[in-house]
Amino acid sequence: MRFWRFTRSFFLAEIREFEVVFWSIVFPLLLYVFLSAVLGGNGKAGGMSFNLGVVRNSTSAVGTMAISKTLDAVTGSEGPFVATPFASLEEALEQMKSGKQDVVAELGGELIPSSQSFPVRLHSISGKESSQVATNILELVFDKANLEVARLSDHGFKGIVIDTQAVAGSASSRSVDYKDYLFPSVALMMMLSVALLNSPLSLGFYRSSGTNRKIFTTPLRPLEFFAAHLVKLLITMLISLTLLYAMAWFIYGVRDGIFGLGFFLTLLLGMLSLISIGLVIAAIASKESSVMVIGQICYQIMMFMGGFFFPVMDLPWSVKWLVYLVPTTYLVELLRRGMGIQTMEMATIWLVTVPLAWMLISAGVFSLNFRKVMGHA
Amino acid sequence: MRRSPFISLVVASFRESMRNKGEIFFILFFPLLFVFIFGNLQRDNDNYRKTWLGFCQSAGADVADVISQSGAWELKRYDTPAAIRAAIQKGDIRLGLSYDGNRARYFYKEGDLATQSKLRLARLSITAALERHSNQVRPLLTISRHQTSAGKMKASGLDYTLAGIISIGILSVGLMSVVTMFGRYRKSGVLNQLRMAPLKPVSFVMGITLSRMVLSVFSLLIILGCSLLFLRASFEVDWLLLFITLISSTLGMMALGLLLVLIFRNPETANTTAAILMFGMHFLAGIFFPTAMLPDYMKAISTLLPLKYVATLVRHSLGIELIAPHLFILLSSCLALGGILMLWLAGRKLLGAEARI
Repeated sequence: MRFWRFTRSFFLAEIREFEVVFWSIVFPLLLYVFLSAVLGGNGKAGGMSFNLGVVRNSTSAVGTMAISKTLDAVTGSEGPFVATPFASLEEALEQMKSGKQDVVAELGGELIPSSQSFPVRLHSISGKESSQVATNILELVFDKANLEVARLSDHGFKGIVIDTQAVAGSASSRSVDYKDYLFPSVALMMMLSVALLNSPLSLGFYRSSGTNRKIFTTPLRPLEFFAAHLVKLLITMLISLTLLYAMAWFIYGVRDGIFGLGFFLTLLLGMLSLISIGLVIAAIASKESSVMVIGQICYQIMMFMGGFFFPVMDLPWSVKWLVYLVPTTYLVELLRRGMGIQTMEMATIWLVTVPLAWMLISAGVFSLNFRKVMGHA
Repeated sequence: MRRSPFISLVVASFRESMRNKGEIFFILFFPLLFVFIFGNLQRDNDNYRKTWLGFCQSAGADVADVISQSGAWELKRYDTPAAIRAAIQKGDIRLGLSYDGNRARYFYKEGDLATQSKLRLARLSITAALERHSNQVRPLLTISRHQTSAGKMKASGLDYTLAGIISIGILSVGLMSVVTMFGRYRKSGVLNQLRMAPLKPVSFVMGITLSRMVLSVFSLLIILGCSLLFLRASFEVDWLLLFITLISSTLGMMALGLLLVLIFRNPETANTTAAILMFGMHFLAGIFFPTAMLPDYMKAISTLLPLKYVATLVRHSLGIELIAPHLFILLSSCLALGGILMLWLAGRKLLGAEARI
């Protein structure tokens, strides 16, 4: 009974801290909303908008018609481009260099003798992502326009029939949405925040402030204190995950596999392995500032190198060894496989073994330093 | 000879920062972590590699060259569609194409987000190339791409990313260090003691500012050094402009930090608000994503963020993307003046006669 009373007070003291609520619960949800809004379009142009500078050189009626129809298709209400006409190329390029245009299309002009075609020159800024993306889209559009002209003018035009077949899919056989891809990442982010930052900071604070010493003069034993700390962490994680589930289910329509037994067991494995790593941080860092530094480094590396937001298996080996080292790579892949998504060529046994190994080794290291962490030495 | 109070304050403030592990980490090494992660990621993106595409053709003239020349694909031949499926299942390839002269059947590894976007590209570009070839289409429009530079040299994606991280470093020094430092002083009662000391508010704020500037220079040199030496960034640095950018941007970011200190009396609240602002700016200021990819309401928010303008100044100073001289002067002046104004106000509010004890 005293254990649960103590756990309750412990939990309430923690949850009343604005930083704990914000970083463990609110921030991952905000990130989910933001990244889904920006990257959740599934490659569709909807939502993206590029500034297109248009320079028309005088050309034949046929060329003008083809170009105009193509431009109308991409600059209308549904198109991703906002077109601005320019009288000269120099003016348009100056505007592009100053950032007002993402791409400049120089359309029409003298017929190219060798191919008897009209030139379309697409000017972009080297290295600038928005300019390169806009140019890629425009190139595909004009390429397609060529085929459309040929299809309309040649009655014998033979189109190619396209179909697609998924391989090694799940029974649901559906395409992957970025919101589904992101769901396990956000779940793990919530756990990382609690395990790598809240937990060691809390343990460090109670030790350095002498609170532990005072508590251990009462009948409460260090093991009970520690157990209450663990339960507090698990409750915080469960609250965060419940809110995430509610958002994913009701707002984003994330469905497949997230209520499966395997998925829940993986979440539990994630909680335990990440909490263990946080306990090691508490064991090796004596001051709160050191805890913050080590915790932040681990948090950032596990988040970015773990494949949370973008595929990481094609990274160069200068950083790829980190991908294989961090347990979050395996945890997020295991969760995604529970949803029918696969991003790594790795047997499932390894996806379970590596986080388990992290958990056991970390628990071992912490148990050797238990008395020091509890301030009960 | 006794040091002036001002110099003593600068030295004390600097030493105090250097002893604070958390502050040093966030100011000096946190941006380095981003350089390491995003620098390597962007370097990989810039070194373009073709995607493997499993291919088999059962009828018609061989179109392997047509597909290869469409640009993005490295072909791996298989005898039958079943062999392609088996290779995808095994993980040897993620995308395949079977062509019989009339039908193009694409095979793809299901459940892989990266493969889905490649599949969309394949369906568009390869099918177009095959239709052009089979109908002997003479294109009406010949498309050519021309890359130009917005700065002194042809920048790469890596250069843009690293410039963004330098801006984040300046933000970190200006905003976070001011908020944490003043928060610390308020909580420990140092501000009250300083009020009673024979110290002019202007000396105090100038001393703090100078120590932040020194840290800002260290941060910039470390990030710049790592970018040039290890990641082979191709900056053409105008040191004078970079120095002006550093001073004005640090002042501007300090202004933001001081605003939070004045609004929020509770240091933890000011700290959390600063961290929220910092993360918000990371994502919305066009550092990691082009603003063109943002929804309209986020684009509107991004125009209000000072980090966006700091990044503009940094890119200009590194020769990546030049802006008009009057715009450089305007942006630098606004950031600097904003900083000086807030420093004066903070000095009066925190240490002046009207400061509450």
